[in-house]
Amino acid sequence: MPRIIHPSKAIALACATLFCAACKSPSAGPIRVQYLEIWAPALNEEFKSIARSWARDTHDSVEFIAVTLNDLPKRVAAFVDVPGAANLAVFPAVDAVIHASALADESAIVSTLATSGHTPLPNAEAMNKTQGMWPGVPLYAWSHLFVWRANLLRKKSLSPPTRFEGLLPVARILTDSSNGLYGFGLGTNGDDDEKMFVQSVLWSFGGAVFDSAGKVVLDSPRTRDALKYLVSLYRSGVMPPGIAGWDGASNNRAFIAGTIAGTANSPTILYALRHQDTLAASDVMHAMYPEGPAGRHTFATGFSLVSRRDDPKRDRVRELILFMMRPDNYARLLRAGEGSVNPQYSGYDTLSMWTNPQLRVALESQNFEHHVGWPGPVSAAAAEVFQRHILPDMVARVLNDGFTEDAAVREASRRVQEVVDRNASAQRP
Amino acid sequence: MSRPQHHFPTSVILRIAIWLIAGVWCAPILLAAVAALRAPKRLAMNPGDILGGEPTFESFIALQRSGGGDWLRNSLIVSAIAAIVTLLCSLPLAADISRKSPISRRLSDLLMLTYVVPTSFLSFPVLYLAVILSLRDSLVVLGILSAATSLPLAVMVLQAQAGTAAGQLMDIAALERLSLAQRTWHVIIPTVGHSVLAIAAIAFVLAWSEYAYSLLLLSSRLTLSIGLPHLLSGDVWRWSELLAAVAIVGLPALFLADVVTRLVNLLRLRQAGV
Amino acid sequence: MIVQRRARATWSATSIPAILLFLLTVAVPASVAVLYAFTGKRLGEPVAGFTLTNFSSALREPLFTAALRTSLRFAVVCVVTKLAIGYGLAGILTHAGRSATAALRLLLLPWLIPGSAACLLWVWLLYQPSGVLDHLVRSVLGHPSRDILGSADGAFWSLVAFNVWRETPFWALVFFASRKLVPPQLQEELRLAGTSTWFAERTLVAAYSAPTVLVCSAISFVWTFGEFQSIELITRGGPSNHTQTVASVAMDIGYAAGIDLGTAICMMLLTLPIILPAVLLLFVIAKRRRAALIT
Repeated sequence: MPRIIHPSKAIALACATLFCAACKSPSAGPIRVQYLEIWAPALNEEFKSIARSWARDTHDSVEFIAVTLNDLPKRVAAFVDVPGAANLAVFPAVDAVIHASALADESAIVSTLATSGHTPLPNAEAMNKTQGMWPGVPLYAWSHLFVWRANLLRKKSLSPPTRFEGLLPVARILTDSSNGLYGFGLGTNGDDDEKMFVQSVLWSFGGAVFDSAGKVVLDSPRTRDALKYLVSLYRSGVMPPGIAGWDGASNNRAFIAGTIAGTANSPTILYALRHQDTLAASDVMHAMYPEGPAGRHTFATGFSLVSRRDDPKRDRVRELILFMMRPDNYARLLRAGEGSVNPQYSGYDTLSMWTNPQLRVALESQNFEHHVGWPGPVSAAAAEVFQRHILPDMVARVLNDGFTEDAAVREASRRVQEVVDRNASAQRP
Repeated sequence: MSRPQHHFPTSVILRIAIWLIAGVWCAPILLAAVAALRAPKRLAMNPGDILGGEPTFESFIALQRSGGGDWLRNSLIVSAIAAIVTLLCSLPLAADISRKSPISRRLSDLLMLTYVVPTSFLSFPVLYLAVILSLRDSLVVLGILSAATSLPLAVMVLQAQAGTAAGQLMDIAALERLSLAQRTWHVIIPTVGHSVLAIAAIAFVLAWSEYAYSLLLLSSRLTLSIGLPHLLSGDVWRWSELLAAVAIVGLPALFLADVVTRLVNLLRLRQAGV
Repeated sequence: MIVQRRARATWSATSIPAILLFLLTVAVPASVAVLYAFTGKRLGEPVAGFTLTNFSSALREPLFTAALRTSLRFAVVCVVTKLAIGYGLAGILTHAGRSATAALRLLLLPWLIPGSAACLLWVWLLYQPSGVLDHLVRSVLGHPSRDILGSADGAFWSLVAFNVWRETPFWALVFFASRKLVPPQLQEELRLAGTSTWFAERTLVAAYSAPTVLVCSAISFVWTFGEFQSIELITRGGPSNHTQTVASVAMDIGYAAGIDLGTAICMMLLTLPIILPAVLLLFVIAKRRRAALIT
């Protein structure tokens, strides 16, 4: 075959093309907004609509990148490590803390919001603020609650258990496995609901991963008590078969399909049911997490708006965030969520939807919520321990791999210590 | 292999066996195509009940509304680009190798290293490169990346085909002073034409299953690989749209199957000297 | 007329596209990834100095050693099964006459549909409750099926079954085509000598198919060992990490935890001693074939 082009010319052409491609002005172009495509389509649409309003008003432009929950970890990683992947993103608050060094300090924006009469709630501050900075602007949060089929509870003249000791008896009464109904259901595959549930149980039994100084204290008798309780619950027969393979929405689907009578979840199930015909919304009851020997403690999951500190479009992004967090726009967003997400600022609990007692439970649950790493500070190590589902793995080791509780706790404690040591050597927050 | 002479019962048994096996093997896809004709609400309640209710095309309409048509179009574009790039890169290299160019031979050996490195390993640095070059969210870039996976295989296949016979014919053509177009038409296409089509088909298929790069590189223009999992996420899984998607992609798959089997038969006949 | 072919020492610039493709899509990204592994690369931070701590972190991670065992078991079981069934199918296709072509079209469908569609199709089949299998078992036996994906063995063998279902047709096609390498005159001689078809299969066909089988084994092993998509979409590494492979654990640690890209890539690098022999086998066979063609 003849030579098509001289090699040196080809290489020069390739380099020139690459150079031209790279020469685009970095601060031009639309604002790329990476948003989380959550369970409430109306909330997603409202989020985009608000951003588009800003673009129209300021003669700017926005592009949207929809991210599903399953893809979220990879998109978070891409946002953090690759400049230009997106300009504004909705991040889990724990991820904002882990990657605080790459993210812009949004303290000025949070102060501006506070001066307008909407201060961040204590929980929002605990989840988002780290080492004196706000790596993200709190957007909304999920409360973790117990969700019950009210019609089944009524039928058996039961009420939601107020203590963990009461959960098993209630679940047993509700279980009718011959008809495919189980009293309670939660996965053991390390999904988000299980991570939050196990953490909450651990706190409620007086155990913790970290103490108030951030030292690892997982290996303790109280942790073993909590683990014993969890193992007995999972092995009691009140949960459907196959929970070991469940993902984060399997319990939601099982609840909607009528396979389980109760689960631990955010108010998203109620949202889904209101928009389907499968079950009357009045047949769903929200209840606070039960109390354990050490009181009532639940887990807080927050989401924040973040941007990169080295983003050349930073000024425009800042304007967009301020616009989105304007009280009227923020209220629009919350209303679109129909109570499936909680506000992160004071003054929004007076919205009319919170008069619904089912949704009010979620708001009140915030009084018992703690951030990752509690009672210690929010830290990258604590966030990584949560993200890598070390606590659910501890439970799974006993349930599936034949570990004793002692061995499982020791292994989990060692893994946590490794995470802490690695983060300490990297001098992360 | 020449067609063996079998006694009547053996060949009939084998024919029945192969049809049974083929039927069972593609049964899930056929079941999905049938189930896609059920009403979406019935499927949502009971996804495993394939035959209940009146047939309807609602699933396909819902899929189109969810963007299924765009996903299919984007996948076809990426796959076509991958096939073209694979051929553009592999043909000249294979021709060079057949003319005993030592550098090209080393290069084809080096290409095998592509299979040492899984794409999930490379996806992050590739994303970094793509963003720096403002080539993110580009179907062309994804097509080129997919071509890299099929390139070593393509070169290996072409080397076998564009071997001594093609080399000798090319030398004869050079002596006869045939132009490039004449050499392409009279020598290259007859000797390696079928392999070219087979490689294009393989590159096409590998590209439209590409997942690791698509996950990070694409955001607004999704392909089937990353669009379809969106249907099964969240609280409510859209079974009807998924099954409609499987039914729809079965059509180009059937066409590809037809092309590939014809090519294989032609190759077999050629090698038998027919 | 036999034309003497001159060996050419010159290299044609038309190979530049292949070089550029390899450099930009494999060599450069792989070099960057290896750089991450040998430095303390963490997401959101610049590359730090040379360190081997990522390797020790990877080796200490209990999920990694379990995932390595799972990956190896998965790859070996899948490759052996695929090749055995594929070879057998190729034999049946050869002797089935005209029906072969039409049946082959149907057989190829699982390989030809996009990977995501195939994976999610199997989720539909195995979904609990009320997937296809569950529905079938309920209607026949009157009680729900076991949750296959909820048990460690069930999930593993489901992934194996999926991999075999999807890729065997391709290998069957390759073996079917490669049977043409058997010289017709040798087959004819065996037939005239009165030997059975089975004898010809065992001796002649097997001998000529051996290089193809070896190449396919090597490629299949590498692809199956690095399998990620089916694990991500069908089992997500569960139940309780029992179907995590090295690729899925690395993605989990590198991206999901959002922090340890260096360790994640180290995990992949640590699998090289397993993958490299397979690729070397490919090299050797490709070279021998090239040598046989040229001489």
